[in-house]
Amino acid sequence: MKKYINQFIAIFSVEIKSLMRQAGQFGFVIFLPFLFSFFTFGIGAGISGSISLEIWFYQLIGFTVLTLALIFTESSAWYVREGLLTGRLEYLLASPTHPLVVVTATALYNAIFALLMFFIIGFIGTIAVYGIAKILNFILSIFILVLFLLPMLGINLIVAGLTIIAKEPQGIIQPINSIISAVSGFVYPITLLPLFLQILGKSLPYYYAVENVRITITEFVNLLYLYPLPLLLLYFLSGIVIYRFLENIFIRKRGTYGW
Amino acid sequence: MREIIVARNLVKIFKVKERKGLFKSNPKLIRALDRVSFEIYRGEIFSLVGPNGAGKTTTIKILSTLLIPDEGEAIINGYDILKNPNKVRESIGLTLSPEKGFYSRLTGIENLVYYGRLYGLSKNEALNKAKNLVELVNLGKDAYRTVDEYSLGMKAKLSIAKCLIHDPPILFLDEPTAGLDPLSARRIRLLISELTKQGKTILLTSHNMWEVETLSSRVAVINKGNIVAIGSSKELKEKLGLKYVIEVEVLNNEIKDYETSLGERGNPVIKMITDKPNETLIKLIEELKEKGYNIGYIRIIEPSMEEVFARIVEEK
Repeated sequence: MKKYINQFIAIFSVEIKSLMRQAGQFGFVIFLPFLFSFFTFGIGAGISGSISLEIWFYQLIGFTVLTLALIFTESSAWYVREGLLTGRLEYLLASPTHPLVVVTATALYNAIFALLMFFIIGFIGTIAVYGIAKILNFILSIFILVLFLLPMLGINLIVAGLTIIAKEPQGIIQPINSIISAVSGFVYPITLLPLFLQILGKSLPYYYAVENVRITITEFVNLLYLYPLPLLLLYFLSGIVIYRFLENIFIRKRGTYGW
Repeated sequence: MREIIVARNLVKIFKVKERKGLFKSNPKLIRALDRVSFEIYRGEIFSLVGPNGAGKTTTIKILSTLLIPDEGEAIINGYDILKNPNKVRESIGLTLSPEKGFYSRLTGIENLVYYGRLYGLSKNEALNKAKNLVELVNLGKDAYRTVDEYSLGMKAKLSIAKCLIHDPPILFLDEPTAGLDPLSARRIRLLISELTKQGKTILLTSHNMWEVETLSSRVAVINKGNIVAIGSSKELKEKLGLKYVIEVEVLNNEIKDYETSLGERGNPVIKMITDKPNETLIKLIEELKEKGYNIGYIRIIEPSMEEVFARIVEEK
């Protein structure tokens, strides 16, 4: 057990250290949702002539969860790609590190990055629109978001596995991120979409994540909206299985990355 | 048991695609390893040499559990690579490419601690080990700079330190001096020699035949996935019947009975080609003494490993 803890801390701490030494990236990610929400809010206000901060908040939360979802979809794919380019992945695979330790440590790092981002943006937005009245709701929404990060992690691992086959992450990430962005109701209600896109959106975890976060902040935790969570956890399980399978077949058996 | 590494009939086939136009491609099978077998003895430096694409790195990757062989088996430090991969991983230190494998924004020490902890060391254990290793590889205070500021030579040193962090009995060094300047390469070679004195077993690959000959106790030549020759460099030279050249400078101006050429110092030099240099030389010196000739310098020119390598690879 001690061995696994040391391995976990090794992976987690180097990722955190690397992030801390490129803080500008984090600042940019914080800035983006504000930029886009003000932009869409400004256009909406200009067209309708009415100014409602709640509408801006709806957009802000949507863009924040969208940014978080995009990062959470592609982070492992980039971890794999960077690992292959720098040779770090081979050394990791040649060490006695348990694959689940790698997945857990990188997932926790990604989750902390995402949640920190959500906390900073969401806190500023909640205080600006509702004052301290909704702070408890906001804190609860972080816990709700954590639950939905698990199925997102599953998709993240599937994307990482596909990156092993495709070698370049962009070809996998860009279409997946476009679909996720379009059908998950981040910045407009999902009901505006054709039925088949609504079904697609509702079969992914992102729609439930953003809806539950919004409901929890503006109203309160509603267990009725959490019903798909057990089913969505299948993404998490299948993500681990698919990634491990693809890693074994393409890296260890087929030697896709050089011999 | 004398053998610490045993590879038996390793086969590895890669499926590649031969692109034809924009969409068409033909699948092609490449037999990267074709029944590769060898043993490496405890405490020796064993070199695997061969042309590019011969199968050196594939062999190392299979032995280090990074690749799964299609056929055959390998035992490392008593553990089967397929049945006990984690035990194998704990037994080896690996350097695949000296400049790769590091977090560029972390310092050398931080990278070493990271790898130490991957092998189950606690933070303090890994840190103490890392501090000792940076002294051993002569990185000194550079170990506290971020890796993105390192020269290739510094990365090569760090790479050796990395594979020693968990104190494994076996080291796989894949071209550890590739791209290094002569001084840095010399330092790495000295370090490798030092490590065998500490009881480490080393599997080395290199394109530098002089380095291979100087460092290794035995050499295997691999070509197109086959081990085509194996033995000490002396054994390989003898097996191929490579000739030695003996040069003896004679200080007398007039010399009979021997064919001579003009030497560097303007004196006649007798040159003889032989596969038994010691016997031929003793015989020649005795003859020259009997005939009253004065001898200047004596030189034996050995066939190089480069000749051995070229002969074996070209013949096959």
